[in-house]
Amino acid sequence: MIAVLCSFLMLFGGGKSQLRIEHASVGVAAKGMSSAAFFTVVNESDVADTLYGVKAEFAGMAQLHESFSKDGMVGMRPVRFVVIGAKSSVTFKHGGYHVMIMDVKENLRAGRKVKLELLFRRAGALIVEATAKN
Amino acid sequence: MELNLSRARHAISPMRTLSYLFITSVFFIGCNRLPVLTNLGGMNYTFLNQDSSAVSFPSAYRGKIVVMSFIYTHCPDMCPLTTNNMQHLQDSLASRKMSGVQFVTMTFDPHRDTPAVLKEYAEIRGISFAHWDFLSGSDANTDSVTYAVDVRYFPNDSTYSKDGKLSYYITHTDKCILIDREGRVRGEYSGSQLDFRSIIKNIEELE
Repeated sequence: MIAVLCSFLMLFGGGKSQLRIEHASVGVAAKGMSSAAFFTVVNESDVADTLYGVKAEFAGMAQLHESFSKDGMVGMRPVRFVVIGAKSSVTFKHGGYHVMIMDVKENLRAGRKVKLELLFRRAGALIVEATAKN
Repeated sequence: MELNLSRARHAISPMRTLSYLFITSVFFIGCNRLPVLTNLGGMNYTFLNQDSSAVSFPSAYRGKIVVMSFIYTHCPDMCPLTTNNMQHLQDSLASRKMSGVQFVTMTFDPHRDTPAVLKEYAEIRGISFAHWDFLSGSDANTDSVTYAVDVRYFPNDSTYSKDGKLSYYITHTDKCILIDREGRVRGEYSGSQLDFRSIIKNIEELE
């Protein structure tokens, strides 16, 4: 009975997850060009959370994407959300999930720091500082 | 009688010796030489480099060993990795006193990747143009070269920004190639996951 109640609360009660964002970086890019953001989301809580959106004031648009590779061809496609399971982590990295950043407003030179707002269903908006890297 | 037969069996004629030497030398020469995958020597297409100067490909690079990659600058993930690998390769070659290798990066998105855009793309990454050209050309010329070296690309998903600007992505072959001094392709590698040891070894073989 208690387990059912807990499950119900976790599913519909908006239980807070405890998320940590590590190693956030963005690719260098000239003004008007595209970049990508990479990081690791660590979920130390007992509940899963879902990253469903991202905002980047320094760019015209930011979307969740994933890269794919098949038969020597590579490409990417938008994804609507990424689930970070309980007691687990998801790494956004080259060749996998990443934040696609289009039309950067200023040059992103190596070392420059920018802010990303990651939108999670349970944890809400998390602001993370990312460093531009080659 | 038996002794005579044995001698006859082990006797090797000069002609036979020469044949063995010929076959052995061909075998060892073959081992040390990279196969010719494609000969680009017969083609000649005009592109513009990052300074909008006309470049005849591949004749402009005849006499040089060339490492060539294929990208589009709106790619946020795999193409920057490829470009980054090219930079690391250039640094590795310089540390081995092999800095004469020419780098060429060709865009397969020439409508967006004008020479000025390619120049910005390279400059923000700190790339020196002393031994590196970024080429942009007509659709026809781009298609001709990429087809010859088996690099495929096609636009797929697209997105409209708030101001109505269309942004599209390109699915493409992940490849860079090694071209010898005569314009012949002698090696193919993943651009985003470059095998540095392999390509450096192959460059040394062409030196």
